[in-house]
Amino acid sequence: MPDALNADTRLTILLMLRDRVPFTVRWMAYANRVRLPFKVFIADGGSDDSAGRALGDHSRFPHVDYTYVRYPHDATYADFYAKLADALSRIDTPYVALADNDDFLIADGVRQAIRFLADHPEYATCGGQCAVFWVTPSEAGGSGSETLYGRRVEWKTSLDTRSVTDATARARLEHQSLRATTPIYYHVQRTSDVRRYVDAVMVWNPADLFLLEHVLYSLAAIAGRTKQLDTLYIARQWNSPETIGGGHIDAFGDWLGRMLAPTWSEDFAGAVRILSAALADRDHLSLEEARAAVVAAFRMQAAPPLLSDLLKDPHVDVPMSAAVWLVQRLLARPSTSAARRLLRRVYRRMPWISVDAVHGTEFRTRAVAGAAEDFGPMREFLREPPAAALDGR
Amino acid sequence: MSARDLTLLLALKDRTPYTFRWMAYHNFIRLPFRVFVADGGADECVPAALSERAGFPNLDFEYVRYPYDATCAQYYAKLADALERIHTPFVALADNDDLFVVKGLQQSIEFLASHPDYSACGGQCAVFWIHPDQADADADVLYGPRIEWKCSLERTSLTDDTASARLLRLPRRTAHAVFYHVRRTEDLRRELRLIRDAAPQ
Repeated sequence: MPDALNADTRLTILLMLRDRVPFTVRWMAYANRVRLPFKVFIADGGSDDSAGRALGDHSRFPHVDYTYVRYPHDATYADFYAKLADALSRIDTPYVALADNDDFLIADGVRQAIRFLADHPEYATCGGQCAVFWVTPSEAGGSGSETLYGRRVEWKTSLDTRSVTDATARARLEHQSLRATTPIYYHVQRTSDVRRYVDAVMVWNPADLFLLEHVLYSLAAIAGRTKQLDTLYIARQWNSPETIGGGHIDAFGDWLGRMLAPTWSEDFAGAVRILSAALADRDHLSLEEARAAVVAAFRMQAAPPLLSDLLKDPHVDVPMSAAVWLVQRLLARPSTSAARRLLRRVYRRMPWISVDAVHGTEFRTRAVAGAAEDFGPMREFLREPPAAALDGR
Repeated sequence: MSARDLTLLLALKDRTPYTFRWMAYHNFIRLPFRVFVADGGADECVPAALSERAGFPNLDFEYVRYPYDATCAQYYAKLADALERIHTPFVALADNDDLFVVKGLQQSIEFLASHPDYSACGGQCAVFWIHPDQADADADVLYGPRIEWKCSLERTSLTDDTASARLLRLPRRTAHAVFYHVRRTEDLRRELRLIRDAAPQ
């Protein structure tokens, strides 16, 4: 199998650690068991040396070709970005794939991705189908170390064959942003590309990890087409504890909560700056055009999770959601639309319909005593310009 | 407390026809309160017209031309400066497309004067639309034969003892515009200084 061997030696899996040592050991044990044929670079930013002790003895995982490097503790995101940049500088294969220690990679899918990228220089990333799984030791479910191994393993995979193949970076960014999930973060990519992305992130130094991910996969979509193979590529555990993403959500909240963090505006400005520059360069756009496209793409991507967050607010109920939906669609129609004119007339002329019905915050109201009388002078005055008054026209 | 205790602070940035309509209306109804016009616009028609007080003989107003509101910071600086120049104990902010009801303002002054534990008082807010004719219902016009208006009763006063509780209970209704309530001038002056210094974008 010379071709397979050749592909296998051209990829390094970059496994980034921050504690959760039992999951790291499980990851390595599985890789060892399936004889994962790719190089593995383990960048450990954990808080103690327990991962180093577990991985220091290479004879424990004889079928995994791995390099272990102990980094300073990922106390801040800047430490994490520095670790990532340094690790990428040490990787000498032309392709790299990022991995978390609660994911499993399927060797055949990864190998096909490497081959595809090698044969298609116009593609920036290639990956395959993603399965998700949950490990529970009993019917009651489990948490913490109980989710490492268990008798009951549930899994599912939804076929996703949406490669992003548009000729322009702007169109790729737009199509990428319409996806609910972002599988390309874990795709096989060219090491030189990812190094360049991470260099930009180092300077930017965002406080929002999810925005970081958004920038990384958006940069990939700008750089080239992204391929989604039919074959299974990765399995991700969705009930593992103490994930970095979960910790970030615990600290800063959901999407809406994170957008209210004091650091958000600066982070977002940095993200737009990086992506606009890359898009303008790729598509030969002005920076203003590129910026508008980047912001529009972000709006598309952020809308579904933001809607989900807004619906969590106990003050947002079904009638409010329905009213806002209706009003927005009416406003999207031309002002001459019969439906829009009819409902506008009803809204304005029915005093029992609240002013705030258009916002869904109140539907029925009562009239204000004496309001008609008080409004009288205004009505009289507004009918026609006063003869002596300047109107500036 | 009398009408002389309130100043309406009319902050301008062009839309000159609306400014003239505002002045004409409040001249028409003989607004009994003082008006401080803080103009951050670029239109030279406004200083020309408002420097001549004879155009609005029933209005007690002071006109000050400020540097153009090119940035939010300049707008905040304008408001902060205007508030330093206002010497009545009460003030209310006004936009040039809003029209005031004297009786409501008068009652708000009286209420605030007799309730030192309240920081703001306002009343019911009507909204209106002006159309030149039936065919163009979305047109933006100054005057017109067809005027639609509506007013929804809003009685949500904020009376909680703690500031945090009041903050949480800020009404969700758009018509409840504390922003336009009658305020104690010293309070608003202090708040605008903070805003000017923070200079949010």
